[in-house]
Amino acid sequence: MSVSPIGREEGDIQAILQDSGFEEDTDLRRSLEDLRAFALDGPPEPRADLQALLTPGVTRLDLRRRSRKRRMGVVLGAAVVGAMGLGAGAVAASEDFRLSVSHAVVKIFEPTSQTPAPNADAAPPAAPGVSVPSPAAVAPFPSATPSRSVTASKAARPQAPASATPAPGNAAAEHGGSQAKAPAVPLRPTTVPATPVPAPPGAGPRPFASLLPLLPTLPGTVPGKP
Amino acid sequence: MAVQLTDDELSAALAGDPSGFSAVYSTISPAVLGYFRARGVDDAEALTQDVFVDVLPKLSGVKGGHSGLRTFIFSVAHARLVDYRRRHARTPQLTEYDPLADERYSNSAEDEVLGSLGGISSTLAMLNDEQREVLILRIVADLSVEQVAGIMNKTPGAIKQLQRRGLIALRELVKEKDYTPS
Repeated sequence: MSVSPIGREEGDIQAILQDSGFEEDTDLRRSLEDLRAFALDGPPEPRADLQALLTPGVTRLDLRRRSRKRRMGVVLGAAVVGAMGLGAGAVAASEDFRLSVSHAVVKIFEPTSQTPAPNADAAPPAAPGVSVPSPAAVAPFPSATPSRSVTASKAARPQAPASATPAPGNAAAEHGGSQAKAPAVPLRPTTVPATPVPAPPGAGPRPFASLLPLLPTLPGTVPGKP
Repeated sequence: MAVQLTDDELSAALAGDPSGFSAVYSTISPAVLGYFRARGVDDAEALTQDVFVDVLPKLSGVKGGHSGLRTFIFSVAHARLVDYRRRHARTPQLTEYDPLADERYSNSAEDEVLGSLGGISSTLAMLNDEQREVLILRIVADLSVEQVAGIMNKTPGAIKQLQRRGLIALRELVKEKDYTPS
């Protein structure tokens, strides 16, 4: 059942005016008719998504949009993971990267392999080195580290008779002084105390650094402990 | 000219048939467009189409026949208008400088006279927001007091009061306008 639009509009405006007691006010009636004229234009031209809804066969638009968004997320995630995998593989495969990593590992282990050597070796060999009544052969080496020789001499004085007996091998190596005669292992304690302080910036330990993984630190510490 | 929705078109629309959708759109969209225009929305056509894109897929759950359909569509339109107002209040307006729109100087006497002869929009703009909303929903959207009460979440008595006060204010404004130019 449909009512004629014009008659309904007039009836509605009349009813509204009657509700409020203004049914005789023609100016107000004209204003309300002007207001009613807002709804008398035609329907706006539907845009694309609305036109799709008005055509047969299309029921919803947002479902497709949602699934497309989800698919885009999966594709984006797969692309990011693939790109990261490719990048990591390329970096690991490059020779420069491996070299730089090995250098970095060597640099990390370099101070740890050198620092225990002077600490472990300094006390026992320093005592015999000082307990020997300062020969001329010892003088050139401690000249680089005078403070250490002074402290070592203070500490070694009361132990001088005791320390002469436990390390005859080291004392013999010290007395020998010739680096060709001494083996690689006992040579290190004699050279290390003289060079450790200026060693990190200098080029001294660099040739040994490449050999460090091949030469474990055990032989240097084992003779020093007893 | 408004066209009434037949019962067959209504039942087709509520069953999810697109032929019913187009009938609903061609019948009710002019009222929705007029509602947004009367409320001063910038792009009333776009907001109208937003409403129908939102509403048409949900028509299968609507109950109450013609009045229920109209109430549902204008409930969505009212909510869209509230959202639009909030967004509009937060978004800064980026417009070119228009000397005619600069309100920091007084208009000429001719402008005052011409402005006072403006349409119902300038008169409505002087009303209280709730009174304006009630009058527009009652007259432009063609809704009953109970339907407007449901949309604005108020009692029918409150809507009648707002309508009466709005009509009184409108009558005063119309009388002022009639007497001012002469």
